[in-house]
Amino acid sequence: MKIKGKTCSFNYILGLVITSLVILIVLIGFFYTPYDPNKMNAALKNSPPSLSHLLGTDNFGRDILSRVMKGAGTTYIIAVAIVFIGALFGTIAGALTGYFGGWFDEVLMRFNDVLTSFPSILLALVFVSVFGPGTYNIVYALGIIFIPSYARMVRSEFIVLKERDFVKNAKLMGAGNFRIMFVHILPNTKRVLIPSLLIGFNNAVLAEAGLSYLGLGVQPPQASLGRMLSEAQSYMLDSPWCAIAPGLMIILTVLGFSLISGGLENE
Amino acid sequence: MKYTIKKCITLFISLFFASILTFTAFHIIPGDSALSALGMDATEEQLEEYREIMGLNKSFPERYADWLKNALKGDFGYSSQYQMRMRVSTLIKERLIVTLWLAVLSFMLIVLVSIPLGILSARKKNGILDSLISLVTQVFMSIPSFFLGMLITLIFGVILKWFTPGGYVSPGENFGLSLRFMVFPAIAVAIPKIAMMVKFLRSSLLGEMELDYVRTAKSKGMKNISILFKHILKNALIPVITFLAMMLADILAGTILVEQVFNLPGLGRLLVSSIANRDYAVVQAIILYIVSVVIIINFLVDLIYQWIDPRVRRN
Repeated sequence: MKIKGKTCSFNYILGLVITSLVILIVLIGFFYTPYDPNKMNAALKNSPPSLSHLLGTDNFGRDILSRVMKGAGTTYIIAVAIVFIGALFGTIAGALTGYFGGWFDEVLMRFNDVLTSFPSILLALVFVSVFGPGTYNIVYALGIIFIPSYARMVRSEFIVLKERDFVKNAKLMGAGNFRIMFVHILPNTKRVLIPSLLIGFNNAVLAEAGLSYLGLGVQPPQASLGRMLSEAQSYMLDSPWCAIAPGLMIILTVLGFSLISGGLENE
Repeated sequence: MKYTIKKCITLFISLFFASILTFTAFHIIPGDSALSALGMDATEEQLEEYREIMGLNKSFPERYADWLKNALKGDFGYSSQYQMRMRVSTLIKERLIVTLWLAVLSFMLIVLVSIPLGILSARKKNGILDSLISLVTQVFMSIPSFFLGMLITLIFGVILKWFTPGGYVSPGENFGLSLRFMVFPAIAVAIPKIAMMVKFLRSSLLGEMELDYVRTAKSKGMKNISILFKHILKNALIPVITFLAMMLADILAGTILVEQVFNLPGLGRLLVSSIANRDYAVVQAIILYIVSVVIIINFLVDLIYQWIDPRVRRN
């Protein structure tokens, strides 16, 4: 199938469809949810999906659809913030070290190597145990943890690109270093950077879900997909829909973005 | 030889650095631990005495050196979260076996399942089977491991009743029963990693298949399967080994979440509860353990790598 001259694979289209669906649900959730996500209704505890509550209610009688809509929104905002911090500082660090090199580069790379040998959840747990749980803390923790991988990727791109002719031309024309780095070289890293932003988003969503599941992330009564899963666990036997709805939302989100990024890489 | 020495130096620097990072992280926490241990009613003398005994009055490098010395002997101090005064090392020893058992089982599952699937996927490239495996892989990489654990508990534990959720038996007591139970959490940890491995192995194999020596072998009349097993596989597995080492760190992280889902008395759950209870001695010890294991295994893999691939040595 060809769109604008580019061949689109089935996976890519599927990814676009799934992602659009998911984003649509979240966007609507910002302005309207069928019920107040935090409103408890003891009478309707743990009721299965019905016409009035499309995805059923949880153990407090809260409407699951509304909670999923709001919760996914919370999860997404957190994930975007995390990727923003990681990519912004990582790119700057990678650009500087890749372009200028030198002993500073060597030191940073060794540092980077040691950091990446820590499993990232572990680093996040260290951060949380020192500074306490909470939404902002996990954004800072995970954001900082994401910096090394972006730095490494941008650095290797810069190392290759800085030897190219267009850089030499720019230097001859008198362009300053910073101008070369950010106006000339950086736009050429798009092909690698954009898929990694999508993958980063996925990893951030999964990491936030994991931390919130452990109780160390988003705190009640705020909803996030991970939190909903940990709340639903005790009721899995009787009311599985409490867990299936947020779980499915996570799966669709991550799947959608990874299909898109896979499609982008294949061009 | 130079390669080995360089790697040894890196090993010690990494371990040293990791220990400093771990120690520092937990000793910059504000608050007077003497006050929190003895309560608001303690007199200044009692607080001072506590500080002396706990060595809180010494300088920072001194405290670090003390901690490190004790840690190397296996003494991590005492835990603060239980009624009984338990040694941290005792707590960890009890839980270590569980986590280790889980990690080993997951690792075996990953290797046993992903290698055949990866080979299959590469051989039938762009066929229906390949596309199917590809899609399934993508889906499984999108499922958080703990949600997978919950689904497994629901389907195999509750509906099919193949195991009792929450019923952990140690391998020492009853190996068969332990295996029957542990295989399920191991599957929960393994599946996302299997998906990643299959993808990686597939591209590694396909990359090898393009190389000249394959064409030479074919033109000499070798059958495809022989080429695959006698030549390609060996070469394609080399980068896979480093990938497996990275996987190890992921597996250890995965056990933290999965232990929570299946209620396993392992290091992961201890870590989470210690964080919640602010039992820093335990958290410090566990983090140091896990990080050291990862660093050491990476070091061993680097050594094995140079033994397998002579090209690395020459550089």
